[in-house]
Amino acid sequence: MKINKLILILLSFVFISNTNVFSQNCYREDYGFDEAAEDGDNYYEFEDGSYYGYAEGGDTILIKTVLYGRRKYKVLVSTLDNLQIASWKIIQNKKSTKLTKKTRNEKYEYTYKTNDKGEYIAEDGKVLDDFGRKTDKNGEVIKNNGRAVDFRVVTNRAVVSADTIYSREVVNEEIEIYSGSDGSEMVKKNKKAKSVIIKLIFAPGEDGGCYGVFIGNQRSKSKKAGKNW
Amino acid sequence: MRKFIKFSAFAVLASLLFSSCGNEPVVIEDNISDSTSVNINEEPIVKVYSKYKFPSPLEIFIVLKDEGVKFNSSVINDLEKASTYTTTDRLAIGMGIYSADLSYCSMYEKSQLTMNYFAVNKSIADKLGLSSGFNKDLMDRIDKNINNADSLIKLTSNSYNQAVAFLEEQGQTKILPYIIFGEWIESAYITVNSTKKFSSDDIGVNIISEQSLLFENIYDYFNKANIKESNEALYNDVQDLYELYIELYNNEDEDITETQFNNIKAKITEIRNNWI
Repeated sequence: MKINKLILILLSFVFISNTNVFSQNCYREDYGFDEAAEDGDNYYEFEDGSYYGYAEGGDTILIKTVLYGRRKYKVLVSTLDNLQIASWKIIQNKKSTKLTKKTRNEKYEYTYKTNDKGEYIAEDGKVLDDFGRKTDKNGEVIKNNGRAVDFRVVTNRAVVSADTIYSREVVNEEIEIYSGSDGSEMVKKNKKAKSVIIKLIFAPGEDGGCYGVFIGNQRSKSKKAGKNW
Repeated sequence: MRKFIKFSAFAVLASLLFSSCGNEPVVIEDNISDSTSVNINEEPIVKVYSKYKFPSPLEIFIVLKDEGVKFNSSVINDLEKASTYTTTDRLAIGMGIYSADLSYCSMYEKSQLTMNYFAVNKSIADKLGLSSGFNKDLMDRIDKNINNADSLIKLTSNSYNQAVAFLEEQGQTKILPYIIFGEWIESAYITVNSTKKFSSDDIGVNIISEQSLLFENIYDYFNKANIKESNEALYNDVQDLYELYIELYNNEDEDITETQFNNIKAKITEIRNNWI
């Protein structure tokens, strides 16, 4: 008897720690959902992954979660009260890297505006010396506040040398893997783990209500852990 | 025995339901401003809320056990450490860590250890002022249903809202990211230590690899909760690990290399040891 009670507590813990009931008094049992968990020799465990919440008509809810690999999942959505689901989607948030090429320490060769004689000329057409400076009739460099100014006009800039750097940038890609409506469900084997966003769009309306996103992963009835769960 | 059962059930409620807040995604609800639109024809504003759902550590332990990984008592946190946690952050992290240990022990049906970790979680819940979140009515109902597992499950389900409401009333929802972090880092630590030698087929290696996705959500969650401002040291640890995980995206033919696994394992161990 003592052992039985101990097991009872342990089992209750197992369930408790996996029971996710969320805000606004939305309870799993309100959805009358237990029967859907059976699947022949297997069953779907919904306790850990499911999500319950409250929304108003017209709201959009995005739930970020992870579907682990090597498992078969069943995902469905249910609403209570007057809340109506307009549509829902499962969007994979897939990240990858893209090799990008960048350059730095560029060295340039400039081409400047010249006249028919090949002399540098300023924007105003005045002929400049070999360093692009304006000179007076005596050939003296005209300074501005004591400094010589380069008046050459750049007509072209060409890179003559540069260091090339390759780097990888993380690219985020959103892939729709399921699109459903009220009452539909996705059943899918998940070979590899996926980061997903479950997007719920509720029909416009004045009333709010509870919604449940049931995310069940398949387990075998024959496994001990499965029985406990 | 009845008192013991009652205490244990209470401990389960007081500590685990709060610790299961680690699975609780409603803490941060963002109005995603760039997704919110106002129609100039005076149609209703579209409100978009972003939420997080973190699978519990038990998901990991189920797989480890199913794959034949043996229980290892040397990798769980020392019960005595609990007395050294004094700040709210450390207590909340400790609660997450002990909650993961509790899940691990119960999954492997280690009765005495499970009871011990019940008790330590209860003591931390007391220190965080969380135990009073359960009212007498709930305790009475537990007492009446102590021999009915189904009823207990329903009771605990019902009590979860009380727990969350209590946290909100007390302005303590800010501790939830710490609890989530504690749960995750401890379950990751247990997992990396289940792998003796790297192999791409090893279940521990595979779990750590796929945890990159979950950890990214935790990192995202930390950013939204402004943990950098409230606990920069913890944030920096999480940032360091995040950067190691991001490197996995560079892989083309394999999910994780031996070097990457070893680097992540070392960082998980370092961070876990920083916060236990």
